[in-house]
Amino acid sequence: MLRISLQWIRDYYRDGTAIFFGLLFPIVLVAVLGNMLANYDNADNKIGTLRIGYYAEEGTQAAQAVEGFAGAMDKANGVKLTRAPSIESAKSTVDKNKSDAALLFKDDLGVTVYEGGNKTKNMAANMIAQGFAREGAAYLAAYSSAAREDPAKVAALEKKLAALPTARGGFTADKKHAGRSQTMIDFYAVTMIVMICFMGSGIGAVMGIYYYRKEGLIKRLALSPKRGSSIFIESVLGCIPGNLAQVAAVMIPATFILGARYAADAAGNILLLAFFVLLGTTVTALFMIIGIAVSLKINPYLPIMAVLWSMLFASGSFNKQFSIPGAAAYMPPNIANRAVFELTMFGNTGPLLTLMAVLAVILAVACAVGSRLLLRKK
Amino acid sequence: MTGRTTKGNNAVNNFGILFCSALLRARKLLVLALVVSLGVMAVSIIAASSGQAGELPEWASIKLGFIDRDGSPVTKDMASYLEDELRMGLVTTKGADELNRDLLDKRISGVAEIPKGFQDALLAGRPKPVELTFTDDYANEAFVKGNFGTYMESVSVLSAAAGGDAGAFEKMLDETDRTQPTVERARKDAKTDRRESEQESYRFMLGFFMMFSFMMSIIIPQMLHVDRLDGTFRRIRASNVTPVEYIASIACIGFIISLLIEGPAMVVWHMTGTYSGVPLGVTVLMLFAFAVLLNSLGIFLGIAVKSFSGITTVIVAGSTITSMLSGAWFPLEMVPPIFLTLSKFTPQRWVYEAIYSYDKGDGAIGVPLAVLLLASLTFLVLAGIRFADRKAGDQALAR
Repeated sequence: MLRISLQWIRDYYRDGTAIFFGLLFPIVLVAVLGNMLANYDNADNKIGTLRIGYYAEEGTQAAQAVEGFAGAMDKANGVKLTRAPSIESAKSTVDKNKSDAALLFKDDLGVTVYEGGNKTKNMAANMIAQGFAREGAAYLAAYSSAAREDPAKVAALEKKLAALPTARGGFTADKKHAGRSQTMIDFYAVTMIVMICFMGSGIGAVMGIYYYRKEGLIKRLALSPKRGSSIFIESVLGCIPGNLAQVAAVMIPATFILGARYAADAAGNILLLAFFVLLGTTVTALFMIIGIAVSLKINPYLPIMAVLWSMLFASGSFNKQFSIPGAAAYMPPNIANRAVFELTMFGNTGPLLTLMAVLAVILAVACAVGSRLLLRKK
Repeated sequence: MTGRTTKGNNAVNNFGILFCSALLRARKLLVLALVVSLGVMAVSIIAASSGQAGELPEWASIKLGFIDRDGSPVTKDMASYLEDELRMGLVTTKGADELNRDLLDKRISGVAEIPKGFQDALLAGRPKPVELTFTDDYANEAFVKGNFGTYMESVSVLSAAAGGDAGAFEKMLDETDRTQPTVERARKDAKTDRRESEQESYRFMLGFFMMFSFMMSIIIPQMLHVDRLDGTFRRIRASNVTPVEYIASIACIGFIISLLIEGPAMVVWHMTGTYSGVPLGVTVLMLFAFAVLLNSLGIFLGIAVKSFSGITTVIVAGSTITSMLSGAWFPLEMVPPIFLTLSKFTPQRWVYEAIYSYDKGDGAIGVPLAVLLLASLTFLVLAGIRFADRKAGDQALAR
């Protein structure tokens, strides 16, 4: 009883590559990615410094308005607005990469944004232009209204508006979303476990079957008096300790060394652990079926890894902001990540429990299919 | 002369036989390389062709949840400004809980909540802040904050001018909307948006190609390792085949793999006129230097590392980590300094240095090329030393 399970366990711990990739590599990735991308958490870092050349014809109301505006921009936002002597000169600073963009002000306070090569900085330049146009229109409306009512009031209005502090700020307040905030370490501490559940368990299962087939073990098992279901189920059970080890190898150091946060309480973390082990076991069963059903003459390591790696990358597991719109939400790693984030960020166990129920059904079906395949081989 | 010619003919003969044998052994990996190349190329071309060259500003892609608890003329005007002037997509029909879920699922970039009594507080000269909720859409967060800030600056002017009179304030608000000047966009080249997208996709594609080339270069140490284990290596040494002929035949497979991964995409990219931002010759030269480095590393690993699992670990882990550190997947502008230093030890970083130098207008490929070739030479020298040590060891054993 369970001799096949014990064989899988022994084979797992004999393979140095499996030990490295299953137990060490994921936590290395959490540490590298979590620290390397920590600054991505800061919105201001995304735009960086901004150099803008501008032109407004001398003596026009645009030129007057822009001077005050430029000073406020520099003081409040660190945006460097540099006056150019002509439209062509302003454009040429962009073409020669000396400015990120150029603002060409018209007399009616309209603006043309001459854009450079960086999308983010172009957006920032457009934002500044929109702000200028809006504020200019507001001032004009205020003065027109005062002039229509009583021209004598214009001077008083001018004093009042001049006394307004420039770049007042404080108009927005950050609100934390209903859940707990998530650092890059928190993010990768989850996604790398999901990654190893797919890659470690999946590749391990396929490679195990591949080597057993090469050594003739599959044939011998099929010829043995053991039932197909026993063989398959024992093989799957034999992978559970390895799955558990690879999850713990990330969760424990991530929590105690890297400061990652999983669920808020012990019950939540036990649930998480159970989920990850179930996920890894289900992936194991599915990939064992692939290994049994598809008799590969070539070593399947690279093809399987290429497919899994691409799926993980496309689902946003390696890069928070990269995923294929539309498709990513249906990819298994993405579904798993989101269910876990519901627990870790919102304390909501519903999606995770639902997913576990689905995985349990898939596992049961996979065991039935795998057993049937082995029975056919008999 | 005859002796030299015979020797030369033998060398070519030996190389040819070994090369054909190596080609046969690696045939399945060569097919895989072609499949990977076509897959990556297809995804990159799709990504490149999805780049916009149109009139829409980029923040048309910002979707914002908008909860208006005040329902006053100024909050309605604010929503209209964000949608009509800035062309953001506002989601106004959902409640806070639903919007928080949408935020987590990345269906929206953020949530803006306007508190009750917003207009009254504004008219009283003590504006209440708009509450913004974001998770990790950092660039859009900065733009949304900026846009709210500039809008609020403008209505603060109106509220100061109105002196607390709601009627006067709303009239001026209306006039501001009607008379707001237009903001237009211009580019040196109308196709610049599309070209940027194509250039970005090109660089991303190169990053994937380099990573997969790195992984597939495992064939070189694998062949050397297998030949060492099953005695082929000893038999070859006992024959008239020189180590150079033997190593060269295997190294050629490495070059063919790189060619199969990178070649079709380069050809298709340039034949279709898709923009890359760098001359084809420069990309080819840098990728060739990268392939030389991979071959050298593979040869060194095949000779120096005893176990195949050790070789697998170095190649697979190395290809993943160097890709991360090199800037292939993430821009390096925001990483801590230590990672910038570490990135200089990755070969992919030097390929990108050469390519990015064309953005700056320098076109300086000398240093990156030298770094890659020097690193290759180092691995080859180390491999040679290790090979000589083994040979001496074998000879001692034989005596």
